[in-house]
This record gives sequence, C-alpha cells and structure tokens, in this order.
Amino acid sequence: MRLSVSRDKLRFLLRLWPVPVVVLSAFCAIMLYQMDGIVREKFEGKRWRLPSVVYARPLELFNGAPLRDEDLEMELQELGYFKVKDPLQPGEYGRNGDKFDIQRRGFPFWEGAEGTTRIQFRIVKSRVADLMQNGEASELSRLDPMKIGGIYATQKEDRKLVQLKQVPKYVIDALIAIEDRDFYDHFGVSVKGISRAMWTNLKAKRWVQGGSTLTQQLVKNFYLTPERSIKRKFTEMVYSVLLELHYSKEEILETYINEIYLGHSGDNAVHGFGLASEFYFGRPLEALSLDQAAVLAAIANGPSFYNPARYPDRVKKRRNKVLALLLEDKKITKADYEQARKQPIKVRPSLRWTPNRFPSFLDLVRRHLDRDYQNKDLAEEGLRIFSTLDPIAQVQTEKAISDFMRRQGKSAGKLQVASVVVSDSGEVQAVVGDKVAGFQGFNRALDAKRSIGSLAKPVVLLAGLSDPNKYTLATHISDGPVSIPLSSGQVWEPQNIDYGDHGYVSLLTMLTQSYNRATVRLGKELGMKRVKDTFRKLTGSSEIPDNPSIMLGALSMSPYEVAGMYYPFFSGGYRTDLKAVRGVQDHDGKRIKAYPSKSIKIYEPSVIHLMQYAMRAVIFEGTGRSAFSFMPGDLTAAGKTGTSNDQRDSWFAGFTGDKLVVSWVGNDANDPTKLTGSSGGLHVWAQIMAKVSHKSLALNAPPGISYQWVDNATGLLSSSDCQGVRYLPFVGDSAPKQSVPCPVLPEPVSPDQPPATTTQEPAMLDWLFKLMQ
Amino acid sequence: MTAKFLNSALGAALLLILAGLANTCVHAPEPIPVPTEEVPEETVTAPNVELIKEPLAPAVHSLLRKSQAALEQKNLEDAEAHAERAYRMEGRDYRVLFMRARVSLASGNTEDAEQWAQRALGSLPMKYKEHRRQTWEFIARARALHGDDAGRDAALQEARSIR
Repeated sequence: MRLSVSRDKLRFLLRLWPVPVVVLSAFCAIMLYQMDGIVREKFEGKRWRLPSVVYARPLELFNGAPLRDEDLEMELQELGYFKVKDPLQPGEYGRNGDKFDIQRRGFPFWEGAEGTTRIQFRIVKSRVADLMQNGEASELSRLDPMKIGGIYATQKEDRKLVQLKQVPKYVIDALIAIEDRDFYDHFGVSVKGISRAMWTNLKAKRWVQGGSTLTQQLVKNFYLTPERSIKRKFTEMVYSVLLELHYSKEEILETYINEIYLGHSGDNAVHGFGLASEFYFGRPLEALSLDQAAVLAAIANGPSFYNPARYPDRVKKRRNKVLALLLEDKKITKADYEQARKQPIKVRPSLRWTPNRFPSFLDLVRRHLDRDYQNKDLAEEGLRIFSTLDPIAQVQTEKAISDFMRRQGKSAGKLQVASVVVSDSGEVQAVVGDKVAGFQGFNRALDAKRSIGSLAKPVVLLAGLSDPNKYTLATHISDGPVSIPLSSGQVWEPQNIDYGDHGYVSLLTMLTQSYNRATVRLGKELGMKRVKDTFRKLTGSSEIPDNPSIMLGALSMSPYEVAGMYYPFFSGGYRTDLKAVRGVQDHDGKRIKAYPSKSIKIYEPSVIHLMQYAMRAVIFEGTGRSAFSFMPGDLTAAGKTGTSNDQRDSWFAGFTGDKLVVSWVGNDANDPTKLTGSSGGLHVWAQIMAKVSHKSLALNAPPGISYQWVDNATGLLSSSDCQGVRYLPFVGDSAPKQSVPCPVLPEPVSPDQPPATTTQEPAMLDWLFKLMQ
Repeated sequence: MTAKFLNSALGAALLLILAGLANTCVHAPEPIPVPTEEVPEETVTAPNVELIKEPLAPAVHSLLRKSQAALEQKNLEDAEAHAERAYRMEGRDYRVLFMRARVSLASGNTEDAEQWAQRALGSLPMKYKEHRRQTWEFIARARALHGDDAGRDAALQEARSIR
C-alpha cells in the first residue's frame, strides 16, 4: 500500500517536470529581455556624456602683428607642437633664428574649418613679418586654439569622437592584431581566443593574457563595473553576444575606438583614439604614422603600465610586437616594418595638457554660459566653446603677479592679488583671482568686492565735465574744508590723505593729485543725483549706494566690475558687457550661438577725450608716476590709483591703446596692507601692462574738441610763450573767453578767494603733445 | 559551425522576446531659435570705404572683403563672423566699425546698427565729409526702420548740415 502511494507521488511529480523548465525558461527569457533592453538602450541612445570643450582664442598671424618669439614658443609648446628641424607633419614646428616654420593642424574655427596649413614667417622686433601660407605670401593666418578646459559631469572623461572612416587602416589593423585577431570571425565571445589565452597562461604559469574579445572589452567598459567575478564575466559574455546580434562589426569597432580608456591627464581620463592621438602625439588621428598607431594599440592593453612618457622601453617592446603581428598578418610590408621599428618612442614634450589650466578664467566662462545653457547640456552635449582668453596675456599676468609677490618679501604673507585684462573690443583676455597661478578657489577677480577708493574720482570728474559750459579741466575749485550733512544727522567732513589744504586747484590737478576735498566739493556742487547717475551709466548697475562717500570710493566692487566701469574711458565713451565667450558650436562644429560684440554710446567721445587727457596726466605727473619704473617710457597710458581707508585696498585701473587692466592688492581679512594704490596695485598693473600692451594710447582729438593754451594759475587763456601754461582740450566753445597777459605772478594762497592757486603744472608734456600733433 | 548555429538560435529567440520593445529615450539639445526677420533692403548710398586713405592692415582689409562678400550673398552669420574678427584686430577704424554697422542692419538689429555707425563716426577723420554725410544717412535709415521718425529727421538734418 505504502509502495503504491509513493509510486503515485513519483508519477505525479514526474508529470510536473515541464513546470520548472518553463519557469526557468521564462526567467531566462525575462533576464535576456532586460539585458537586451540595456544593451540597445545605451548603444542606440547617446553613448557618451561629452563634456564641453573650452578653447582659447586662436593666435592671429599677420604682417605687423605684435608677437614676441618667446610668447610664440610658449603657445606652441602649450598647444603640443613638436619642435623639429624640418617640420613635415601637422603638429610640428621648426625655428631657425627669427624664422618660424609651423605645420598648423586643421581645425574647425568659428569662421569656418581650415585644413592642415604650413605657416612660415619671421619675428622682427617683436612683430610678425614675411608671412607665408602653404608657400605663398599671405595676408592672414592663425594657429589652432589652445584647449583650456572642459565642463564635465561628475566623471571627468575627455574624448574626441571619430568616425570609423576617419581612422587610418593601420590603426585598426594594429588594434585588431594585438587585441583580438579573430574579431571579424567571432560572435562576441571567441572560444579560440579563450583557449589560446588559457594555453599561454598555463605555459607561463601566471596570468599573462586574457581571452576577452574587443566586443567583451567594450562591454566591460561601456556597460559594467570593473568588479571581477564569475557573475560579471557571464554577464559580459551575454551582453557581448547580444551586441553582436544587433550591431555590425563596424559599429562595434567604432564604439570601441571612441570608448577605450587610454591614459590620464591630471584628474581627467583620456578616452578614445581620437583624443589619445592628440594627447600623446599632438596631431589628429588621421595624421598618425604607423609607429605611432602601433604605440596607441600597445597602450590600449594597459595605459598605466604602458605609459609612453614613463616607460618608453616597455612601450617600445610592445609596439614592436604589434608591428611584428602586422607583418605576420601581411598588413604591412617588410620595409614599413623595419622603418617603423627604428622610430623612437616620442610623445609630446609636456603631457601637462591640464584640463583646467586657467581656473579663474574658466570660472568666468562658466558664469557667462550659465545665462544661456543648463548644466546638463554643458556637461553632456560636447559643445565647443570659443572663449576670449589670450593665453599669452594670461601667462604674462600670472608672471607679473608672481614677480610682485616675490618683491614683497616677508610682507607678502597675507597679501592677495587679482587682475583682469580686457582688449579694446571688450573681450576679457586674462583673469587672475589669486596670487598663486592656477589656484582653484575663491576667485577674487570676480568675487572679492572691495572698496574702490579713489578709483571713483574719475566718475565724479566725468559727472562735472559732462556739463562743458560749467566745468572744464581748467575750472578751479577749492580744496578747502568741505562738509556734507548725512541723513543720519551726522556731518561728513572728508580729509585729504596728507590732511593738507591745497587751495584752489584745477579739476585736472584735483584728479592727478587725487585730492579728496576738491573732489567732494565738486560732487557736492553737482549733487548726489548726477554723481549716482554717472556711476549708473558707467557700470550699468542700478545698485549705487545713496551715500556721499561714494565720491571717494566707499562702494564695493570686484576688479572685474571695475574693468566694466572703466571700459567707457578706454573705448571713448562706449559701454559694453565685457565678454568671455565668442560663440558656441555643437559637437559637429555647427554654430549654435554667437556672442557678437555690442556697445552703447553713453558719453560723447569729446567728453571722454578730456577724461583720457586727465587720466594720462595721472600717470605722467600725478599719483601714477611710478608706473614707468616697470613700463617702457614710450608706452603712453592713462589711469587712476585707488586706496581705500587705512590702506586696506590698493588699486590701479588704467589703459593704453590696446589694453585695459585693473589690478587690486589687499588681503582677505580686510586688514591694512601698508600699500597705497601707487605702491601696490600700480606696480602690478604696470608690470602686466609692460608685457601685454603693444600700443600706446593715442589722444587723437575727436570732432568737437579744440586745444588752447591756458594759464595754470588762473585757468584763463594764455600763450605758448608764457611760463606756467599748458595746452588743454576743451569741448565745443567751452574754453575760457578771457585771457591773461604773460607772465602772471601767482597770487598768495587763499581758499576763500578763487581762482588763485600756487600749483604750477608742468607744461613739458603739453609741448611734446603739441609737437606730436 | 557550432558558434554560428548558437548565434542564429539565440538571435531567433531574442527576436521574439524583443518584439515591440520601445525605443530608447534620447536627450536632445534645446532647439536653437532661428531669426526670421526679413532683411531690409538698402536704400541709401553706402560710403565707399576704398576712398579712405588711412592706413589699415591688409589682413583687416581681407576680412572686410570676406564680410562684404558674405553680406552680398545674404550669409549674415559669416558676414558677422568675419566683421567681428576684423573688429578684434582693429577696433577703432571707421571701415571696420561701419562694416559692423552694415551687418547689424542687414540682420535687423537697427539699434546695434546705429551704435556701430555712431562709433564709426567717432573714428572718422574730419576731412572725410562725404563719408560723414553718408554715415548720418545710414543712421537715419536705421532709425526709420526702428520706427523712430523724429530720430530719422534729426539724423537727416545732421547729414544735410555737413558741407
């Protein structure tokens, strides 16, 4: 009886055998379905998050262009050009005395793509001469721009996508020869490859070879984690088969070539052959030689182990193995093989293609782009951002700051420095936000809002000169005690820095000598509304404090904001939003957003001409005189010193004919620095200007300006034959109508009796100016 | 052979399973707005910049020619790109600034066009009276296109006052 029950049970159970099979099959089918979904989704969707690439400006080359040979060499080195005797390949250059011969790499410039070009020229007296392009005289050429950074998602992966048709055949052959010789025959997993690897490992009694196909390697990098386990290996094999089921060998190979990790640059991983070719050899993949292609194929096995910069012998051995396999597979001739074998392992002289070489500038680029783009697009869409950075100006600014700090010696301690360099088209060319070049942190150039001190005085003067019928540079004003009642009930009584009273002074002297009381008196006469309106017009900001002390700079601005405020003085009366980005292309090089220059006329050029005259006098005869300790004597400039209360901030803002530079020196704790504008900011400014500027400020009188000889003591018309006179510009018919005979003896100083003054302003400059005119 | 058989069998099974799978989601960048404004026709005589004899680098001349050619072909993006490049190289020359003005006007940016033209005037030596007059006429046209009739009349008045 018991036996019969057991048999029935067994029979019943046997009848149920299809159930587990069906359940298992269904489970497998679901798993496969899910895996297939993953494989297809990633492969058919956006395969990579492509970081946006930020480029510096391309260096323009034309006859007469200012360019120092050491700056050019620096730029070529940073661009990864090889210095060779006879440049033949893109990415190579040669120098023979003052002659340069450059094989410029092709590049999709903003104005249109340009192919590889041979550029030859000389540098004579720091100017480009005899420019030739592809053997013919040329009017204009340029270098490819330096890659200065990227905008990334969380993982810092750099890659340059290439299409399979762009990849030279021997690069593909080399890769297949060393990594997966059966690539075109297997279905994702190679039984032959696994057997061969196992046999090799057994013979060597250690793990020397893996049996993974290129498809498996792609799956491992593309879909899976680096974890090593049986489960992961199994998943890798299933994914590989699925991948081969859906996609052609060419599609898989192209993805592999773009995906593979091939090295590291700083914090950033270098992925794909397209980028690795530029990273290691400074040339596009299409231009790689056979031996270089073999080096890349060699590196693919282990970029750290086969790092060509560190282990050239190890890489050479493996490269030669790649070449031998190519010969064995009859992919290259014996002659090619011999020739390639002889080549040394030669990679770019400096593999410090740092993705974020100029962090303060990149910070500005990022803020600029944040107005128009979402973070996700910037980090994933592979946009190509053409910035305004001039690497030469940036590096020179960094050097000038470094020199300044070195000269400070022990007192450098807590000092900090920030500077901004702007071109006459309103492009920001350099930003330094810390005394240490390349520091990634608090960006003082953009974020340190500090009291601007006497940098405000030109604003007050401009407010006055805008009414030429009432105020000219010759107008005299008292520097005696002045007071302004405040809304708090208190009375503000500013003092001069020397606590002196300089009597009646011309508005010109008021600015050149930076007299506080005369400036406040002028502001008081004009009224706060006009002073504030002038600040608003210059800065484009409505947030101007309603406090009379703004006339002496009691308002906080960053060096970048000051540059914007001073730009109208530099440009002749035009305000612009300083720009850091020229345009944005998509990943394929199509323009998607241009940032053209724009400017708005806010003051008549004639009025600004008076300001430029006065600010030039600051440097020649006023508080900015020491600039010429650092600048060449023939570089004419204009500007203004600024020192805040207790010497906490030391500023200088000024311009030449082609550059506007703002420099600030202070410390983060806002403690006194023992530096004035003349000894801190000015020294940094002058050192920067000496290196970045190539054009003097030309005071060409615009329409509506007439020059007259004026007696310094009275501010009345005089003659060039007299002493104590100067040649001053006037707007329209605002020049004094009365004249005084020559000579005029100075009256005794009396603040109550205008317009006497004892100030004898130097007329030498004016005679020179008249001569030049 | 075995490998190929396995491959085919697995493929057939997967084809059944995977039928009807939805397409994967692809993130697309935001569409870029394309300006649709009609380019206004030129109605005033453009100043002949060739008659200006002030020195200008051949490189800048070359870019101005490219910009001019692109403008004639109504390729405003290229015209702007070349004019901008010229402006970066020589930002204080009448010919460069006036080309920027022309490109802006062709693009329908009448306010920018006037600003560039004003700036061009500021860089034009006084002796070029005909250019000055024609630039004021250009400003008048920009103002008219902007709907500023009073401004247009004032600019024409300026143009007529130049003798």
